[in-house]
Order: sequence, then structure tokens, then C-alpha cells
Amino acid sequence: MAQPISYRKALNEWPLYLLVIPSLVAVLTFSYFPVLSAVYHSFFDWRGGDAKEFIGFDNFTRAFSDEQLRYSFFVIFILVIANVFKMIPSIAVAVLVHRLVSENAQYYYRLLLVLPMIVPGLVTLFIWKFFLDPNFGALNAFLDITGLKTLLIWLDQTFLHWGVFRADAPIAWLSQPKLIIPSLIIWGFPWIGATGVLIFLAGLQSIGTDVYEAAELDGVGPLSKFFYIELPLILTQVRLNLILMVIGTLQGFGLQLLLLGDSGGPEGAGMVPGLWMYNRAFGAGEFGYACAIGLMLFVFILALTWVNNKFIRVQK
Amino acid sequence: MTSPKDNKSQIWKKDLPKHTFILLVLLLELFPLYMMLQISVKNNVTFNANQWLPITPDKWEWGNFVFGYNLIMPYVANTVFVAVTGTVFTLVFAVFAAYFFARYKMPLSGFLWAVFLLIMLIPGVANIVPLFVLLKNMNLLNTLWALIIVGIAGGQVFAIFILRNFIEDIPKDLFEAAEIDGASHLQQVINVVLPMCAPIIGTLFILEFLGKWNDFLLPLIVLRDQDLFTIGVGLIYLDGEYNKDYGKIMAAFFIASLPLIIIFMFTMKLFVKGLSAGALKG
Amino acid sequence: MTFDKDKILNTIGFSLIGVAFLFATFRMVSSALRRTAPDSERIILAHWQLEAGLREAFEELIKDYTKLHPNVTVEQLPVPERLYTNWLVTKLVGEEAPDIIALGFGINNDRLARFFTPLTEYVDQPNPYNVGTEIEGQAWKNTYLDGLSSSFNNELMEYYGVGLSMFTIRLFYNLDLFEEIRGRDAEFPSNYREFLKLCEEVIEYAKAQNRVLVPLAGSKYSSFQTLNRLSNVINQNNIEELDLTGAMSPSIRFMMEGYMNGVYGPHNPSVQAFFNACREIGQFMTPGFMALAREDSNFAFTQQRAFAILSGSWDIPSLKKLSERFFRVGVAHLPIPAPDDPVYGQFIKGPVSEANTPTGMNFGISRQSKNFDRALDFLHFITSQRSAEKFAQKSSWLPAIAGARLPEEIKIFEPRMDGFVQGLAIFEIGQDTRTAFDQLFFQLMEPVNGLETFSDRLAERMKITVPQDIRRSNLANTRINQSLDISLITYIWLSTQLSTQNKIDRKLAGLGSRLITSEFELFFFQHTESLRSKQ
Repeated sequence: MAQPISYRKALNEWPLYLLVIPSLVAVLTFSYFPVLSAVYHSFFDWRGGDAKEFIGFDNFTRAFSDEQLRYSFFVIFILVIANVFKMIPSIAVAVLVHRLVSENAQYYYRLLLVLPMIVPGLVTLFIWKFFLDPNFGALNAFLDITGLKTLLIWLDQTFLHWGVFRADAPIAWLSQPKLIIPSLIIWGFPWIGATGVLIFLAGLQSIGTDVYEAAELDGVGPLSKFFYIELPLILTQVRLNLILMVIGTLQGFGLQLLLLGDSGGPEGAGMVPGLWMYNRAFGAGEFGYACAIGLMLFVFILALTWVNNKFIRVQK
Repeated sequence: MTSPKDNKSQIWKKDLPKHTFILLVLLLELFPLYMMLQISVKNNVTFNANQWLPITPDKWEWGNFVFGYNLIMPYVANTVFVAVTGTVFTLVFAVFAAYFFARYKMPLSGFLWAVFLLIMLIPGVANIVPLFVLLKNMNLLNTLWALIIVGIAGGQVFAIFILRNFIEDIPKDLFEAAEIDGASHLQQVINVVLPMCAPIIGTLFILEFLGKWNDFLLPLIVLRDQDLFTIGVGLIYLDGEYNKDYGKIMAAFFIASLPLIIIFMFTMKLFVKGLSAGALKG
Repeated sequence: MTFDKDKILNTIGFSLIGVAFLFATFRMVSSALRRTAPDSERIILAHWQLEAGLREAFEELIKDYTKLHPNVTVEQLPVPERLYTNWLVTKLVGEEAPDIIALGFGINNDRLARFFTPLTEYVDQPNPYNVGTEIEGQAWKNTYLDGLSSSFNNELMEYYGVGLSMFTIRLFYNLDLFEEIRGRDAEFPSNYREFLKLCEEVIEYAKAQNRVLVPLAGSKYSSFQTLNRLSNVINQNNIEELDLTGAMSPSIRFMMEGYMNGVYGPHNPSVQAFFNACREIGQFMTPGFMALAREDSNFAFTQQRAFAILSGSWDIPSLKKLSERFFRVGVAHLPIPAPDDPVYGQFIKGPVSEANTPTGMNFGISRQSKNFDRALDFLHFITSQRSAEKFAQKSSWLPAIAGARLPEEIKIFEPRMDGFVQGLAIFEIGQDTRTAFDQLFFQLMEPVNGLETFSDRLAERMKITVPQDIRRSNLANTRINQSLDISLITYIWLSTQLSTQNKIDRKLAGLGSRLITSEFELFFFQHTESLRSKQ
């Protein structure tokens, strides 16, 4: 902890304040000011220029009856749920790597897991976009070879009636409104997040080999080992990851922007709140309304964070 | 007791399913990289003949890499400039601020700490629109400085948070000894904090650098002139071409990935450490 | 010991970053120095046309221009189509807009009036770069084949852009395949029925050769070009039936009125005929084409997975370049039904005239431009007859300037000047109807009962969409009339107060008398103070 200091001594040490000023100024200007500015401008009809007109809560009332915004919250809700399940492979891989006896193997797997992180995110994004290409994509090729496409066609004809899976046409993942959310969910298979795996591994570190040996002597199966030994230990990490993931998903719109454009793809089927804010500001030029959307999202996330923090404290 | 040799092969046998599963997942995970590499040497003819398997080196289209190099290298230079300048200043500011918080409990320091911590709760998403207008009013649009400055501000909280803990763990005697020698606070930062915190600063450097390297949203909004583009914007523009020559595109992707791969080869451990620490961000 | 190894490696790693940084900084500084070269004017030209050959053609023109004006640098800024709207809005609002901007994506009347300088007073004056040609001394707008009529903004009553090209559509086909199917000396069919037969032969050929090959490369973009060509002739007689004024010009208004009066709709015989033709030709297109993008259809053609594709001359370099190592490309007019067609003949007057083909690729000048005169001069230069010719040669885009000679390979794209007025397809009624049509279209292509189900469902949807479209159209019209009225009244009122001595008054009078609404309003509000002080 920092040393307590008397007022008299503090007076002498005043140059210390100079050290915190650069950070403080940077943070006040580029983190606090924009938020306050967003709050202020959300009450205006503002097109980004000098001219603006005070319109009270009109932006917010408009937001509440905005079909596209409502739909975008629906999309993000689905994506958050999907992302929860997409955490499972990371946990599984972390546990398996940890259970390996060889330390060397553990280290090399760790390196290999980090490798995809080194490639710029955009490169991975565009390669995945190429995978979803109707004519050349790996996904359609995979479905063709494994015969899964026939299954999809059958599903479509008997249950879904979407008319998107047809024997005579390649599946157009990113241009069929109905397939956009599934595409976003399939995205990034097998959904290994290098950071996630590394955090879980850090959490597992405290389990020694003796624990495993003891468990083995008691005849504990691999699955019970996970639920009784490993999961309790990484529960904090899982929860932390969950919170970060939820917040990140709620805020994120880069993937949708680059994949589908700022209108969210055909019929706006992939629209998420952040993207709608971006679209209103930098597509329609409605900066005031965009601020209001941003602010609503902001409050939403803040509330979630607060609930999460409460939740965690109770657990501790 | 079994002999060590037997033990080893037994372990291997026992771990085999795990290895298989992990390797399978890794294979899938690295599949995009494989596709990038093998397509990057193909031209339209060879690509159409076979999309999935590598071709023999005698048929490689070296021109793809010339194209990729000419296209991406200027972007790499801009990105290096932005990311390094930004990261260095981020860390300099953060070390100072962390020192301020870690050294003494100054009046107001509790309040200031709260000011910083609160930012962690603010989601960045609400910021982008006003930030754009702010940068416009500061006359920073279409400059790399906009990216650098915003990057510095964005990296503060996390770095200060981590560094404060590390500086507090430095034995107090070291500071006191320096003080007796008449060292100013600046000198104490340079002579005591920097050497003691070098490993964590290295880790933070990699982490902040990675974040700035991968940023694309702000550059996309801020930059206009092609000679200022960072890698992200350059790749997005490349993706917007009507007629796709996948060999050339993948070669450009490869060139864009190369700088970090090289750095990674030397600083693997810092990367692994940095990424584990990065999870605490937020 | 390993610690030391790590330390050394880390040092090398960070040193590499350091070296890269020094190199990057050196590059930045030197390019910054180059850019601030004294007494040079710099103008930037932004567009989204990333077709092969076009950027090179612009570079050629820029090179020619800088030869004439060595102290000027012109930079071309190609922005991908998908980013263009966002890009433009951020640059306009951020006051970093380029001098010359291609108009299209992200442009509406509000932005035109707010961010662009009207060119109205310049298009009446001659283009200085036409000196020495037969169009020397002609008003700039009259050097255009269409008299620049398509660049006039009817709502703002101004010209905001000048164009560079005209867009006509032709059929590109795989010449090698055609000769293989029909023989070396065969002529490409010009008759619709014969064309359908050819398509069937292509399918038979593909079956015999056991290869993936469709007669027509389909995508939402390219297929609708084809369908539009069909509707243009098959719906020709509609106009006469619906047009009660006898003006003989196609108008969406008539369709709306016809629909509301119950004389026009999806079950109208000519509309049914059009739907039927869509089915007829649609069966030869890539299945599921509504979900495919423009690149997909281009790719299918260059990969010989499709026999032919409909596109404009701007795709010549792209399509030829990508296919040059595989096959030869032929270009023909798309065979469309004629008045003697056994099925559709009764609905058809004859081939559609392309005389009113709009001028495309319009460029406007931003109000933020610091070098307006230079930007205008550059626009003069690239739209001069000589430049237009050169541009067409390099890019294969069809020139819009009168008297510009066409390169051999785009002669077939020259607009057909004789012919009849084109018909309008039912989905032209408005945006909502168009969306409904697009969404239901897959139904039309169903082999069983497709036409009936599609028509019924479209009729159902149109009960909602047409009133919406009419409302939107009325709103737009009211707005135009209102702003016109306001300007007119203000002008009349003002004219009693204006003095000819005052510069502001003179400009107001000028703008008002020419009904240049947006400018007038802007100018009026900017100078309200000075006008008020007079009272």
C-alpha cells in the first residue's frame, strides 16, 4: 500500500502531482468529455455541425419506437446467448491441456494456441469471410462433402420453410437475411479464444498432480473430475470471462460492420445496437440520435456491470 | 515400481486421447492460416484448379508477394509509427501516474484513483460519435496524431492499475535510499521503478502494442489520405475490390501478419504472459 | 540460464521494433516534407469505381493535366463502394472532404445543398478545354449527349454534378463456347425465341460434357438488369393505357393512379406477361441468384461456369482481363422480345430507345474545397472531348460527351437513339413495393404454381406497400412545392425592398428570379441580419 503522508510533508512533495497530470488530462479529455458530450447532445437534433436544435427527450422517445433498434437488441441477445456456449471449447481445451502430464507439451500447446492471436484480427476476419463465400467457401465445401447439406435441405423443406437451402444452389450465408444470424454464430469455429484458454490455465495452475492422483485412486471419472475439482477452481475466471464477453458482445459491432456493411446486411438482419448507432451517425448523419442510442447502450451495460459486481461480491 | 521408461510410455498412452483432441482443435484453429499461406502463392489459374491443397514451388506466383509488399509496407510503416509512439507514451504516462498513486497517500489521491477506476466501468461504445467531433474540433482528423493520442488515453487505466500493484511491491528501502541520496521523484522513477518493473513493463508494452496494432475502427473514421492508412484500413480497402484475385489478397494478408510473427518469435514468453494479463482488462 | 536466453531474445525483439520505428518515422517525416512543398495546389478526387482499368484511366488524365499545370497535384482517392457512404459522411461532417466527389452513395438533397457548390452558373458557359474541337464555344451542358439533363436536380433546381460516362447494358458471352455449340461461323441470335433456344442448347451441352455451366450468370445486380430489359418492352403499352394526359412519358404517378383506380396491378395482363418472361429467362440463370452478389456473377462467367452475363462496358476490362488466359469474350445486344413475338408481341411497341440514357458517374465540388476554381478547371478538363475520348480508350467506359470517338470494342455499347419509350415494371412504384417484390421473387421461380402464388402474394402485399409509396412520393412533392412557394413569396416580397446597389440584394434577386431554391434559402438566412437592419 502507498505510504500515508502528513499534510505538511505532502505540501513539500507537491511535484508529485505533476506526475499524474498527463494521464489525468488524457483521460478527462478522451474518456470523460466524450461521454458528457454524448449526454448533452442526445437532447439535440444535431447533424455534426455547429448548428443544433434542442428537442428534449425526442431522441429517446424515437429510440423506443425504433423497429430497427428493437430488432438489434434481439440480435445481440441471441449473440450473447450463443457466445456463452462458445466459451465451452476454450474451457475444455484449457482443462485438457492442464491434465497433460508432460510440462513440455503444455508449453508448446500454449504457444500454438497463441499463434492465431498474432495474426491481425482483420486478416482472420477476412479469411473467415472467404470461408463463407457461396462458391469457394470452405463451409459450403465441408457441407457438400459430408452430406450435411442434404440434411439442411431436408430440414428446410420439412420444418423451416425458409427456402434458403436448395440442392441446386450454393448456400449464400451472408446474403440471405435468414442465414445471417446463423453465420454470425458459426463464425470463428472452433471458437477457441487464446486469452480465455490462458486465463483458465492460470486458474487451474493451483491443482497439483497429487490431487489428480488422489482422485484417480478414488476412482473418479474424467467428467466428475471436471465438476468436482477443476470447475470450482476456475469458477472465478469463468465468471470474469463471462462478464467481459457479455460487455464486449454488447458493445461490439466491428465484425458486423466489416462483414455486412453499416446497414447490417440484407434487410438489416445482422443489425446490432452499436452498428445502428454507427449507421445513424456516419450513414444518416443523425449525430444527436446516435448519441442517444449510444447512451442507452451505455446505461444498459453499466447496469449489467453493476449487477455483475454485486453478484460477485455476494459470492465472495 | 515400474521403470521410468515404462512410465513414460504409459503416460503417453494415457494422454493420447487428450493429445488427439487438442491437436484436432488446433488444426481447425490454424486452418485459416494454412489457407492463407497456401493460397498466397496461387494465381487465378492454379487457384481455380485446386483451392485446398498446396502447390509445388515451381508453380508459385511470386508476383503476389511483390504486390502484397508494395501495397502493405507503407501501411505497416504507418502502423508501426502509431503503435510504437502510442505505446511508449502510454507507458511513460502510466508509470508516472502509477508512481504517484503507489508512493504516498497524497491528499486527493483517493479521489483521483476513483476517477481512473470509474473509467473501467464506462463502455467505450458511447464515445465514438462525440470523439469524432472532438477530434474534428482539435483539427486532428486525417492525421496519425489523432490515433496516437486517443490510443494513449485509452491505454492509461489498465496500465496504471497493473503498474500500481507492482510499484507498491517494490521494497520501500530502495526509495528511501534514493531519497537520501537526494534523488528527485523523476530520478526515482528512472532509477528505481524502471529496473524493478522492467518485466511487467515489457509485458504491458506487448499488450498495448497488440491492441493498437489491431485497431481499425477509429482509423477508418479518421483517416482520409491513402498515404496515412494503417494496416487495418488498408486491408478493409483491399477487401472492397470488385474483382478478387485471392492469391494476391492472401499474399497481402501474409505480409500484414509478418511483422508481428517476427516479433513474436523473439518475445514469445512476454506474449503468453501479456495475453494472460490482458484478460484482467476491463 | 534460460532466463538469460529469454532476456537476449527479448532485447532482440524490442530492438527490431525500435529499428522498424526509426525507419517508419523517417518515412513519415520525409513524406510530410514532400507534401508541404510550397506553391503547389493540391486537389483530391474521390470515387468508388474500383473496376479494373478505371483507376489507371484517371491516372492518365491526371498525368495529362499536371503536364499542362505543373504546379498542381491531383490525387485520386478510390474508396470501396461498401464504405463509401460512411466515408463520405465522416469526411463531409469532419470538414476534411475531398475537392471533387463522385455523387451517388450517401448523397441526398439535404447533403447536396449543405455540402456541395451548385454548378448551375458554370454549365451554361463553354468548356475552355474544348477549344479547337467542333463543340468549341458551346455551353458546357450542351457538350453532353443528353444535354446534361439527367444531372439536373429537379428538387433543388440546380446542377450539382457533371458526368463522365453513360451506362448502357449489353450481353457478354463466351465466344469459344458459342462456337463449340453453334459452329464457327454462326451468328449470335438477335431474336428472343432463338436466344431461349440457344440457352437450352447450352444446358444440353453442359449435360453432355458433364460440367457445371448455366446459360446466364446470375446475381441480384446482373439478373435485374436482364429483367429490367424485359419489362422495358413488355410493359410498354401500359403507359398508353394508364396515361390519361397523353404525355407519352413513363411516369410512376400513372402506375400509382392506375393501381388505386383498380385498372393496374399484378394481375394486369402485361404485368403477368412480364412475370412469365421472368420465369422463362430466370430458369436459365444461376439458381438462387437473388442471394448472389455482383462479384459472384462476374466470377462465374470468368470461371466458365456461366455462358453469358449481362453488364455494361465498364466491365470489359474486368471480364476480359480475368478471362484472357482461358477464352475469348463476345459482346452482343441482349435479344429481347419484339412486336412479332407470338406471346408477348401484343404488349410491345418495339425496341426501346436509349437516347435518354442518363449520364452517370457524376462529380460534384465540395463547398469545403479551398481550390474551387482549380477543381472546376479539372472537371472541365476531364469532361472535354479529347479527355473523354482518351478516358474511354483507357477504361472502356462509354463517354458522355458529344463527338468523342469510341474505341472499337465499346462501339456496340453506343446508345441506340431510335426506338420507343420504355415501359415501367410494377416494382418501380416505390421502395416498399420493390422490397416486397424482391422478398417474394423466389416464389416466382418455383416450378409448380410459381406465377399464380407469386402474383397473389404480391397483390396481398401491395395493398400495404403502394399506399406507403404514394404517401412518401406525395411528401417529397409537397416539400418541393413548399420550398418553391416560400422562395417565390419571399422573393416577391423582397423585390419590393431590394436595392440594386447592394451586392447581397443583387445576388438574392438573381437567385430568386432563377428559382434556385436551396441557394436562395441559404443565402437569405445567412444575411437575415443585414436585411433586417435595413428596415
